[in-house]
Amino acid sequence: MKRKLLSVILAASMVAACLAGCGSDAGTQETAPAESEAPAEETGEEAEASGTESSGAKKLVFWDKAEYVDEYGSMMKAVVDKFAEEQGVEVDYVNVPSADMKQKLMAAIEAGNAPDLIVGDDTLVGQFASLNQLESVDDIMSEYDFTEAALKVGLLGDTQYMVPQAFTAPGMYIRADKWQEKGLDMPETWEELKEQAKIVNDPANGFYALGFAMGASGGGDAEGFCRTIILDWGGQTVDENGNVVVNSPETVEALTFIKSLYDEGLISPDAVTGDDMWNNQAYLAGTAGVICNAGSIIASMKNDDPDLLAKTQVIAYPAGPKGCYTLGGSNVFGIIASGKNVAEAKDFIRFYYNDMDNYEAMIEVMGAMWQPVINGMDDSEFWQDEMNKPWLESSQQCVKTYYPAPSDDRAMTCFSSQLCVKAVQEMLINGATPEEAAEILEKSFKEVYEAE
Amino acid sequence: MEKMKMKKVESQTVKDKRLGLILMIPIVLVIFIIMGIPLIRAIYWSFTDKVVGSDPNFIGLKNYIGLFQDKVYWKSLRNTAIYTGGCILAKLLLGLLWAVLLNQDFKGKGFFRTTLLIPWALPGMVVAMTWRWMYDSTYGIINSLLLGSGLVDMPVAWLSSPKIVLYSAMLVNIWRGVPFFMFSILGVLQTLDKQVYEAATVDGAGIFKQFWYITLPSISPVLKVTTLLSTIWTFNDFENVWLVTGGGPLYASSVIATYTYDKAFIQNSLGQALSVATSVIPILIVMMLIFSYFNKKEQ
Repeated sequence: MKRKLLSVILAASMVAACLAGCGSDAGTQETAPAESEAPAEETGEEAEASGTESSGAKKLVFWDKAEYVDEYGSMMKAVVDKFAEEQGVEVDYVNVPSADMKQKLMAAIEAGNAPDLIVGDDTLVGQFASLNQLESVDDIMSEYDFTEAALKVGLLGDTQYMVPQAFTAPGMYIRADKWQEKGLDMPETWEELKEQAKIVNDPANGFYALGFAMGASGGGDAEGFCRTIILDWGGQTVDENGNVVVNSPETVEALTFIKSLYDEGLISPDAVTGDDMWNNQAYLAGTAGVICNAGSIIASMKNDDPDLLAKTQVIAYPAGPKGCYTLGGSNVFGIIASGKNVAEAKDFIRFYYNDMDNYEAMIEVMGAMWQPVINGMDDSEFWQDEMNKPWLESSQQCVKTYYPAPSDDRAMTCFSSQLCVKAVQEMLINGATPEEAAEILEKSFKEVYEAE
Repeated sequence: MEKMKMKKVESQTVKDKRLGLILMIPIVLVIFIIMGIPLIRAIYWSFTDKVVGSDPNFIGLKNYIGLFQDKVYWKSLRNTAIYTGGCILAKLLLGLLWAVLLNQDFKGKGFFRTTLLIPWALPGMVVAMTWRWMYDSTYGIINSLLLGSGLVDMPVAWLSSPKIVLYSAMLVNIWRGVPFFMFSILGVLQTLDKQVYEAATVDGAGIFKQFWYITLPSISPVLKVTTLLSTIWTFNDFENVWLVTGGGPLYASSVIATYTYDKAFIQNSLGQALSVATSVIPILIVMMLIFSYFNKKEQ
């Protein structure tokens, strides 16, 4: 009986080990399902052996965010090859889908084989800065002529932790054909958008006027939308001194507005489980009339659905009663502090920015999806083009996703935890009133900001 | 003489046992290194404030106290019980029914066997994405059929209603898992001697009596093993729930595996995530003991 008991306990423990595997190397690899999807030159596993090769040559491991535009991958690969050749450094260049970057990186850091250099969204890479995993890049930031907005991107406290690669300002995508069909002008305020949405909305025929995702399974689109509305209505989550000020009449009004969009059936009910892909898919499937997104969806339409692209108009974010904010993102370089080749990683970033012609070409090849972070590029023919100019202007007006809170780990934690989304879900799922949702928000923010 | 023979047999048995133990050592060592060490580390970290890349600091029971005061944890635990229990029961009954049907002689049996294997053979990601599309309240085929047939007036919110969403995820797990039960049971059914059934028929036993007294006892061992294995897999199922519902909305379909992920990768707290995972070890052990008890009783 004792042996049987022992064997049962052992077996159960093994099962639990699988469950508890997020603390083990094997388990974390299971949570990174998209290796086969990565259009990578090499897989993550191949890139594990960072550091110095047995031949003695340095080996830089570089995980780059997979982009929708194929030319970007080949251009960056060319930079990598040139760097490797000129510097005598072997480089493992790996394209990692954005959705998998965080899990893969966490697993790699825990396993002690983190890449040396990464490129990713600032909100994602910033989380690793707040976890003290990034090397300071103050030296690099002082060597190049970054724009004023770019200088704020990677700043955490008084230290620069991320080198911006490009702004990825969001725009509002509207099905212009549907709006024109009803004789409507492009909306300039959120209220106007809502009234127009009521006219265009046609759920009986599978078309919802708005496509704002509200799922809390990671990503930043939904949280960004909620915070934009709160700011546009005059509310703030955390003020510039780090005080939690979210529970205000302005926030309650903002939450009331957000709730009304769902209550009045202008957005598909599935939005409450929708992630960052959901709004893209809904728009591409022709079931949503308006979404807020970065420029990546344009590339997708160019390749897969030019007809839809022709029916689409991209406009600036509408204004609220108290302002018009655009929460902008950017792609950034981050150097992992525990990486084995920090110096080589810095050298690569310098190498990248030393060739400004190539940088400009890379920005332009991304269409207007990317906006430059270096001064002096605004006057080019490309950015003077009427199609591209609004994106550049949008990037210059963007504020950080946690504006106006100070740049610190608490701000990052609150954003990545999607506190605003969860408060909105409380209204939509559990029937909380906007006042109650604001109280929930205040409590959630204070738990982070007032933690020991 | 008889005594000496007995002694020789006993000595041989001891030798066999010793050899068995020696042969087991390598695999036990491998299992310990691959699973035991991470498990011990995971349990230790569940008592720490571990976050990615930092050294863990021992904080005693703080994570567990926080966990037991956490409503979402209890909701996830309850959902896990419903998810596991409901899925296993449905997979068992449907698998049994299909296996019995497929064991009959009829035209096109091969076709059905192959077709019914497809859900089991498909990658989890493909299954989840396909079902998400089917469930979609705007363009999903399920709502389209229901509305078209007049069974419902409004699209059913398969993925957004907190009352339904867990069952939507369960349906996907059941759809995918039935073939495992079906083929395991079918394998045993095909080895059963038809003469036994003929004899039972002559003795006046009807279909239900034949099933109860002949079929069920024959397939009982395989039923137990498949149920145990499937229970473990379903209890730990992350992929299906996460890809179909993301554990939402507002944790309505959150299970222990997805909540662990949420704590680790969204809230960036490995220590708390591991306390969630570790907290269910006693439940798994109790499940194993119950299985072991019934197995021993039968033997």
